[in-house]
Amino acid sequence: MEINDKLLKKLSQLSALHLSQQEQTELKEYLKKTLSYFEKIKKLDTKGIKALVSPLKPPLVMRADKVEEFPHTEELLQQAPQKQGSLVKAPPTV
Amino acid sequence: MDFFSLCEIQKLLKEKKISPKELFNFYLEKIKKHNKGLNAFITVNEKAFEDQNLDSPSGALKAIPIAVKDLFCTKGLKTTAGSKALESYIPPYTATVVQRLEKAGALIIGKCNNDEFAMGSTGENSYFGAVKNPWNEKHSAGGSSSGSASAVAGGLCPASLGTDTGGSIRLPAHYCHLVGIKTTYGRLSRYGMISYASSLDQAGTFSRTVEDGALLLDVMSGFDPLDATTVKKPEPFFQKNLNSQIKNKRILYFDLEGFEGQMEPSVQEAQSRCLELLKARGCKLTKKKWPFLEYGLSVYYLISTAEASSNLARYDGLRYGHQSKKMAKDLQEFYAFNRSSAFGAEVRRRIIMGTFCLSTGYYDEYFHKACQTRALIQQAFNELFASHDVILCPVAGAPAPLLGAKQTPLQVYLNDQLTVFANLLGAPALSLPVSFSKEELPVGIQLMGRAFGEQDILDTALALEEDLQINKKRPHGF
Repeated sequence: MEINDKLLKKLSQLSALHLSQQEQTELKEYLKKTLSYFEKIKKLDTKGIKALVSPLKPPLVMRADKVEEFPHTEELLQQAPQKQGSLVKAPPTV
Repeated sequence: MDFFSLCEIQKLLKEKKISPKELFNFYLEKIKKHNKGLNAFITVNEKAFEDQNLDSPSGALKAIPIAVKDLFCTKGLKTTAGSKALESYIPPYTATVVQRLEKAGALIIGKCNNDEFAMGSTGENSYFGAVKNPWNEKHSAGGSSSGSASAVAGGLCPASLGTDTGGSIRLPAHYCHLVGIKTTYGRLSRYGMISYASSLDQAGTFSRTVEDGALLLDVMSGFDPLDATTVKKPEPFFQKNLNSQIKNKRILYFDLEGFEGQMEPSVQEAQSRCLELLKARGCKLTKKKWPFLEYGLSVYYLISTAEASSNLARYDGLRYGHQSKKMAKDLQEFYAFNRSSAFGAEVRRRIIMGTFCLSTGYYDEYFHKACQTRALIQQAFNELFASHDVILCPVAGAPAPLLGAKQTPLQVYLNDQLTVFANLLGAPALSLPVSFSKEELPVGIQLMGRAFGEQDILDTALALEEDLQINKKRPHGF
């Protein structure tokens, strides 16, 4: 695994973060040092072990699938930095 | 006039030795006097007293001012997560645990400063500046619940809420001479609690006494239909069931082989003192090797950064929060400009790390491997808890460090080595004040229990609190 500019560019796109040249240099160093520390878990034998993604397993909570009025549209729209009527404004997608 | 504990205040209010208005104004004055120096609060809610519903039925916390970490949404009251991303955000709803405090009559006196999006352990990662430790203002109050700890330690409020993902309540409690409790995963609702790492985050309390913490947990605990990870369990009565007669309780402590860094003498002495006291109370003490000690931190950071990269994807500046003034040519660039100008350095590091762990080609090797290791850790601790009731161990290797200490990110992460396990397991854990170092900095001890075993750790903590008689000490000038 190589921590290089190509990897940083990919991570920058995936995370929608614009990284300056200086930050890219610092991040490469950070990833190298920190991942090198984390590498130790590869020594462990985890063959056949099911990954734990939640510490406790409460039963699945279900609710009725019924349509209800949502009374908070206006309050949520108030939050948008730019809007037009009841629509949130965004730059072009094409 | 001064107050020590929440329970003491309840009694004084009941006996009408102080009025609710006097009490609220007392704490407002304390905040006005000390907050500039400590930077514990981002927002002070001066209107909390006049806005309260005086017709509401008497609750256990009626008229009691409580501060809340700025990670909890509060309707109509600015909630920033310590970040520029939410600098002016005013939520349209209130977090469930805060609603429960309010229903019990509590007055939310303010929103406490914290490391940005709960990422940090020194209180220096907030967009709103570092938080100071009232015991020595050159030192860290800990993090990420830095302001919540500083506020209670400095006497600016009798208790506060924090959150704990890898130690963010227990470490500040240890640094600030407080009782800091993180509950079992699923005990307290996370609805309205701004997410960092969803399988690790849990709300909790800061207080001066174990009983205060137990009371707050009683008020807040319970199933919430808005958080599917909360459990349906009978309502706890932690405060009522507190019992310091803990003869025959089985206490496990560890050989700390594999711990990285120095374990300072003051921390070792604190542990030894607690073990002596517990032995004198008739507890059964056992020492074993800490399973997977050298792996816990790696597992925690691989999982938490991965979850954080997903949770923080919502901060795109489109529907709420910070939006950049730069003109973007398309939606993708718009998101990148907004996000890049919103997040601080540590948040950006962790998002990049998490994105890496989840990306094609690396997912199996890092994230999946970490989750498998988490399963091994849970198996090992389940075996330990089959024959022990409480684990006793240090919170960290040292008391509060100096603010501004030059450290790499990894060196800072090492502060969490002993606290991350409770989050990986979903186990309840607390920090209790024990002693002071030669430099007069607080030293605490950590107690960890099995899932839903809060009563065991609260009872053990109460016994130690009674024997140590140290929690009444206050920082000079506060």
